[in-house]
Amino acid sequence: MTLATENLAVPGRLHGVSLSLRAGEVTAILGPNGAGKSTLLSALAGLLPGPVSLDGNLLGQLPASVRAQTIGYLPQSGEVAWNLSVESLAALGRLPHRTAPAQDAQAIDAALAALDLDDLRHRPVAELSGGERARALLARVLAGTPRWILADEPLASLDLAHQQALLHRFRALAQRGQGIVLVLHDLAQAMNHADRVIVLDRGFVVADGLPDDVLDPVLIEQVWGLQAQWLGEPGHRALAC
Amino acid sequence: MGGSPMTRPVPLLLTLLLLALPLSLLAGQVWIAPFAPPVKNAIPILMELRLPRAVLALVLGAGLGACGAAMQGYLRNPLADPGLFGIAPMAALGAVLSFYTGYAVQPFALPLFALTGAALGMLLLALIAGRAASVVLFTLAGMMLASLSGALTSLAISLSPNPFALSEIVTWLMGALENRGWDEVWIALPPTLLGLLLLARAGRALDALTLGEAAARSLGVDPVRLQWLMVMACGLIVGSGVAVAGIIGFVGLMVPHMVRPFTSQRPSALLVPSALTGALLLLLADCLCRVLPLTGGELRLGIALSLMGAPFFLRLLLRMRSTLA
Repeated sequence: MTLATENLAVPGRLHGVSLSLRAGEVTAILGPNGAGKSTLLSALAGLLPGPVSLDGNLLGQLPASVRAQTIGYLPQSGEVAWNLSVESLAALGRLPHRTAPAQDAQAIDAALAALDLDDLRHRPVAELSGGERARALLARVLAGTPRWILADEPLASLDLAHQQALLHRFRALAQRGQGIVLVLHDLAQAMNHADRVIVLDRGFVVADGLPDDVLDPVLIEQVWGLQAQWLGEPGHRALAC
Repeated sequence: MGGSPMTRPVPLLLTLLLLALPLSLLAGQVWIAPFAPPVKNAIPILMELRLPRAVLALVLGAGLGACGAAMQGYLRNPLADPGLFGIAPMAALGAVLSFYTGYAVQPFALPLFALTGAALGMLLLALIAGRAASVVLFTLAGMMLASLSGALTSLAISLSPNPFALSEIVTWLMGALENRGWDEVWIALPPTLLGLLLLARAGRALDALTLGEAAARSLGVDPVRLQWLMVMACGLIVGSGVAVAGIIGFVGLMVPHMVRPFTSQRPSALLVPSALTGALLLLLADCLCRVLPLTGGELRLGIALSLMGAPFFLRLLLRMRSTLA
C-alpha cells in the first residue's frame, strides 16, 4: 500500500516533489519554517490539486468518502468551533463511515483509550489544557480508523511523557500496517522514532531516506544553518547544537 | 453521541408546542374560552383567522430557527443569522418594489415579487462568490448584497409615489402575521419544508466544519455542495418567510443560543430543537402581539421580536466579553 506523488508542484510553495510512502512505516517530514511541510501534508491528504495517488489510484478520482475513510488528516490549526465534549469531538472522526452506532462507539472508545482520554470523555473542549486538547483532536483522527494518518505537528503542545507515549502509539499503529506521516520540528524525535525522513527546504525535497543516513551534521547545517552533533546510542540520540 | 436526557430537549419542546398551540388559538382581541358560553362567530375566527396564523407562526418560526442554527454552524460563528446571506433584504426589496409599482394590490403579486427578489439574491451570491466555496468570500458577498438591497429599499421608500404606498411599505417591513390566511400558509409551507429537508442533508457536513474547512474537507465534505445546500435552504426559508410576513429578525440569532446548552453542541444536533424552539417562540410572540392592549392596532411581530432580541443580544455580548476578559 502506497501513497505517492510524482512531480508535485504548488506555485510558490512546492517544486517538483516526487515520493512514494509505504504503509507500515513512520515517515517524518522535516524542514525549517516555510519549507512547505504543511503544504506537502495537505497535498498528500488530497486537499490541494495535484497528482497524488493511493495504491495507484489518483486521489482526485476517488470518491470523497473513500478518501476520507482511508486518510485521516490532522491539521495544524487545532480548531474546534463549538464546545463539544471530548467524546463528541472524537465522534466526528466517524463521519465518513456510515456504520452502526455500536461500531462507531467501539472505535471511539478505542481512540480515547489509546490517547489516555477515558477520564476526560465528558469534559468540554474549552476546559481542556493545551495537551489534552491536542490528544482529543488526535483521538478524532484515530476514531476514523484510517489506513493512513497524516498529522501536522501532533506533538507540538504535549508534555514529554505524552510525546513519548504518542510516538510509541504511532509505532504500534505502523506495525499493524497503517501508514504514519508526521510533520515534526524535533530532529531527535525523527531520528529516534521514524523509519524514514523527508527533508524539505524552500519547497524542494533535499533529502529522503533512513534517519541515520539523512540527518547528518552537514545536511543540518545546510538546511537549518546550525552546527550540530548527534550524541548517544542509536534509538536514544540527542542533538547537541 | 446520544447524551443524557438534558441533551434531548425535543420531547420537552414538543410538549410545550402542544400546550402553546391551543393557547394561541384561544387568545386574541376576542377570547374564546372553551368552557364558557359560545362566542359569536367562534368557528370562523378559529378556522379562518387564528388557525392559519398559528400554522404560519409555526412554519416560519421553525424555518428561521433551523436556518439560524445551520448558519451559525456553517460560518462557525455564534453571531451569524439567516439574514447574513443578504437574501432576506433582497426579498424585502422585491416586496417593496411591488408596493412602489402598485402591483401589490393584485393577488399574489407581493409574495411573487418577494420570492423573485430572494431568487435573484441567490443567483447574485452564486455569481459573486463563484466556485471558490470560501466561507469568508461568501459572507462578504452576502453582506454586500444586504447593503445594496437595503440602500435600494431606502431609495424606493424615499421616492415613494404616494403617502399610501409609503405607509404600506413601512408597515409591511416591520413584519407581522396579522390578517394572514391559508393562502399565505400555502405559499410559505412548501418552500420552508423543502428548505428544512436541505438543511437536514447538510447536517453531517456542518458537524465536520466544526474542525475548520481543511479538516472538514479531509472528512469528505464537498464545500461547493455544502454552500449550495445552505444557499438553497436559507433562500427558500427566508425568501418565503419574507414573502408572507415581512422581515422577522432575531429568531434565527436567538434560538440556537437558547437551545445549544441543552444539546451536544454539534450543529446537526441543533437543527430540530432550533426548529421547534423557533416555532414556539414565534407562536408565543404572536400571541403576545394579539393580546397586548395597544391603541392604534396590534404590536407588530417584527418589533416585538426585536424588542425581545436586543436585550438577549446584549446579554450574549456581555457574556462573550467576560469570557474574553
